[in-house]
Amino acid sequence: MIKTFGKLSKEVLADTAAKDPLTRKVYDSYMAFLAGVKDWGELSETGYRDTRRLALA
Amino acid sequence: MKTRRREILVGATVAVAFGANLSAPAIAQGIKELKLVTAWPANLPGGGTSSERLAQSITAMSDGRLKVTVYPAGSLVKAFEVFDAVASGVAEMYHSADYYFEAKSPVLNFFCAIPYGLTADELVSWIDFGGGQALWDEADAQFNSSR
Repeated sequence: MIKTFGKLSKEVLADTAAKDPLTRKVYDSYMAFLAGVKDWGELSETGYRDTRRLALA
Repeated sequence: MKTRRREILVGATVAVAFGANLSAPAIAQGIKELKLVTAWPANLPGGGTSSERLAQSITAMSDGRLKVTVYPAGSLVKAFEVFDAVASGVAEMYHSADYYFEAKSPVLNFFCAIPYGLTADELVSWIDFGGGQALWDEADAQFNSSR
């Protein structure tokens, strides 16, 4: 179900980006940043929290 | 006096906008009283308490030269009127969630929150280091505001 939400959200955001040139520019910048940063988040924040949960359990 | 008229992000989805009528020369001449209108009830945990804390911090950090008074939703303008209040100069600042104002421009969503988007830390990183601030300035120029 989450995957369906994700797919539909992508469609809505793509439609939003098509509304005007500035929104397109911001959308492109935001999405490029998200694509670049999400794996680091997994390694840093998610990795740390997983480790902390184990350590403090 | 150097003033950082940039975004002050309070959590992932709320930001403070400053009106263009907050001019540095006026500040240098003495105490400047600033109205901060919010989209929250007074003392709403999170939103309302953050507005008050921010107002007190600005007043303290400026040695009282910037005296910020918080006007919770409904006291000066209604919750969803804060954007227009700052754009028109009724208040100098608002504290709200900008996706409330999507009808003004869909671009506002991206500086607030989108589904499965950036976390709070990531959003600040994009704004400060990923080119987001310049885009936010460009968007705000349409509305007589800055962050």
